[in-house]
Amino acid sequence: MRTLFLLLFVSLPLFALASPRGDEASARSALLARFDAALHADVGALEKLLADDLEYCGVSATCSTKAQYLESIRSGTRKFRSLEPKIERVRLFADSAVLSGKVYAVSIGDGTERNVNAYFLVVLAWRDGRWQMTNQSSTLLEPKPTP
Amino acid sequence: MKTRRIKLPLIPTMLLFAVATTMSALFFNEVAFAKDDARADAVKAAEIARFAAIEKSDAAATSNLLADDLEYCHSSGMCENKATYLEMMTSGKRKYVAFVPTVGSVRLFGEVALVSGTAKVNVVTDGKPQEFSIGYTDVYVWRNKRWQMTSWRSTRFADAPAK
Repeated sequence: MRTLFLLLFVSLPLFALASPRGDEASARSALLARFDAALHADVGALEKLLADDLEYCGVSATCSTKAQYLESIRSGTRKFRSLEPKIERVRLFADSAVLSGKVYAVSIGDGTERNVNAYFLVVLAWRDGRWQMTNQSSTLLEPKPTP
Repeated sequence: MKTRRIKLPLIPTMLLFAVATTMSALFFNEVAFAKDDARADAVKAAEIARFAAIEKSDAAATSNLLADDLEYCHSSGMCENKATYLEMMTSGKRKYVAFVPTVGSVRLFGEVALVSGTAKVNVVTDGKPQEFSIGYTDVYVWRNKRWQMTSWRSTRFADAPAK
C-alpha cells in the first residue's frame, strides 16, 4: 500500500507533463468559435475563448483589452450582422498557434451597416487545457467585390 | 558480504521530497523569469536591428532576421512572402527613407514572441513617396538559435493619413 502511494506521488508530475496539447483542428475550431461568439454577442462563450491578457487591435488601429472588448460586445457598440472568416494558415508551436486569414464582416454601428473586408493575424495560447485567444490584429483590405 | 538496507521513514521522506521539489520549482521559476526578460530584450534587439536593416536596404541583414515562412501584410492590405519582400527591397521598387519605430510590448509564448508597437514610415514605392503612421503586430519564432520574424501586419492610423 505504501509503495503504491509512493509511486502515485512520484508519478503525478509525469501525468501533468503528459496532458494533451491542442492540435491544428482544435486551434481552427477555437478561432471559428470565437468569431461565432462575437457574431451572436455571446459574452459567456467569449469569456472562455479569450485570454485574460488579450490585445485586440481592430482595422482602425485602436487596441482593446479583454474587458474593453467584452464591454463593446455586451453594450452593442461592436455588433455584426454577418462574420465570414476564412482561416488560410495555421502554424503550431509548443504552447501557441499563429493563425491568419481573411474575414468579411457586415458590422452595425450607429444604425448604419458597414462592409469590412480584413486580413487577420491571431495568436492563440494553450492555457488551462484549452486554446485562448491572446491577440487579434486586423488590417483593412479592399472591399469584397460584389458578385 | 552483507548489504545493509537503510529503511527511511516514509512520511518524513515524502515531506522532505515535497519541500525540495517546491523549493527547486520556485528557484527554476525565478531563473525562467530572469531568462524571459533576457529573451524579451533579445526579441526587441532583433526588431530594432530589422528596422535599421530595412532603412539601409540591407537585404542580407534583413533576410537573416526573417523566417523562410514569412507572411508580411502591409498596411495597404497587400501581403508578401519572404522572396517577394526582399525582391522589392533589392530591386529598389520599395525604399524606406525613414522608419521610426516605438516598440510597445513583447510577449513570450515559449519559442514564439508577439510584438506590438507603432512606427512613423516614410517610404517610396514605385517612385511614389508616402508618409504615414502605423500600428503593427508581428510574430517572431526562435529558430536556428536566433529570433526570426514570421508574421507582420500593420494598419495606418485613421488620424494620420498618407501625405
